[in-house]
Amino acid sequence: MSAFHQAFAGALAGDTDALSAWLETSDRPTVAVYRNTIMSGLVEALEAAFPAVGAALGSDNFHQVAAAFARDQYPAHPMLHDYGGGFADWLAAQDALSDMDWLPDLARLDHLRLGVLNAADVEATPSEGFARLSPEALSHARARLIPSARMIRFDTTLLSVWDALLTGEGEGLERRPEPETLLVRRLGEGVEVRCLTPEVAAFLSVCAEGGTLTEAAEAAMASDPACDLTALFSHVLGLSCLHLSTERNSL
Amino acid sequence: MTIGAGLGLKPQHHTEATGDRRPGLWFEVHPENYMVEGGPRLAALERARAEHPLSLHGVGLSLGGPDPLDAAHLKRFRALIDRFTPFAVSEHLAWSRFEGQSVPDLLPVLRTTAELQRIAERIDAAQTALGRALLIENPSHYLNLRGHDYEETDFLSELVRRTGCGLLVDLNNVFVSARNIGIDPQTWLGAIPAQAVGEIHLAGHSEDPVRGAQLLIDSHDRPVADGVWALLDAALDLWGPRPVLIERDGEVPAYAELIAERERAQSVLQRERVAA
Repeated sequence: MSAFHQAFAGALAGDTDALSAWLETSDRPTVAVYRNTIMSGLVEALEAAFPAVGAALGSDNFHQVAAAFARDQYPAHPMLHDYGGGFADWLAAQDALSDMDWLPDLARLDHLRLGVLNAADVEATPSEGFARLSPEALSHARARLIPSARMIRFDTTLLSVWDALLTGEGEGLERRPEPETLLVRRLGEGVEVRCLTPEVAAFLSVCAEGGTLTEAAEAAMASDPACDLTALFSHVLGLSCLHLSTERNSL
Repeated sequence: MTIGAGLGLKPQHHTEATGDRRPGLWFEVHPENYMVEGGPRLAALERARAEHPLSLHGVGLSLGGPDPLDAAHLKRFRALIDRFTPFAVSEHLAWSRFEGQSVPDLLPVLRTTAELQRIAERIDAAQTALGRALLIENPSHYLNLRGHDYEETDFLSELVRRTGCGLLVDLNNVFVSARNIGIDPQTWLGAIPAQAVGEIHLAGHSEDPVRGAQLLIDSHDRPVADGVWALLDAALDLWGPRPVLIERDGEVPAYAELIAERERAQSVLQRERVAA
């Protein structure tokens, strides 16, 4: 890095004398124009990407928290719509926010929603595509989640809190100490987040990890020995989130 | 189709913009906002592109920066160029990336002989990777930096000569810089090689909240100022018709309000002039 670049980076970080070789003393405060533009751009990007965290904190508090994060972590690349991948973990490390220990999970769900919205366009295999397979072929087939459908698991319920924050209803802000697996999928131009039953979550988890449909069914049965596999499979296909991959047609 | 006056395309205007068939209308986007794998954002741009010429205006290459050019970013940029076949691709004489991180701003370069050589090489490499010539935009200036070997217009002209790039002249940046660091805008316009100008930008600016009219900020959050419209007339007198773009990034109004500004630019473009 040249001396000028290094000095400018230092000035952006607050060292107002760093540019003394290139700037009159009276001009040095003007570096704040760049500092302010950067900070407002980053805070604005985080506000757009983390609506539930923003709703939980309120606008003023969110701006302060986002600015603190932005000072700690500049983006790794210039696509601001993707900025904030480390926000959830950063929030979790902030002692001052420890009484809002659900904020990191909100951030994880916000970030996943954005990832799903911008995910690759891969069509889910329609039910007929599965129906065409022989029972033998079906049992050995694998069906992966399409890129615009992803799962996330929390140890404590979150969806009701997330929904309440985004709709501004103020209801459901209590998290219950029960695990919750959510399916986040793109629908049209929006994103739907839904809670999965344990057996459906078990089935789709195996699919997502590359297991066969037989292995997925076994996982569902292990989760709920009384589950109706035919009904479960029909329900899963109705979610339009799986892409069938056989040996001749792998993802 | 003749490229006339265009608009920066905002997501909230996608539907109206796509259906707007007025002659000469075109749109510009920041490619960084469309560097996604898929989804509605890309689909909307596909629909707009099916009806209108498009320009890609990059903000992230950091051509004047200290870090090596980002090969992954160039690859993403090239993919968009191949997909959307824009009539123009532009970037800035600025930097925004250092120590492996990017910032959303256009930081000033020091116009030295060594930097001229280095930035020319980077423009050359970027043009090779992108498969086409770039238009390079003049930034807004806020600082009277010491240590330049070149006037900005000479530096830009030399980049054109060495790399074959063209220029995107942002007249709001010229206006803002004139106020902030004391350049003469008419002299500046007169020193730009006319044949290199491939596009003109117009935008609004604001006054610094502390220093007021002494320090203008290139904020893109209000209509184009009268002084900038006057520069458009002067520039077109010098260079002849060029694609003109209205940029708006903050306090984005209804499409009808933006298109009214675009219509004003179009009428300025269509005014009869003495041949340049």
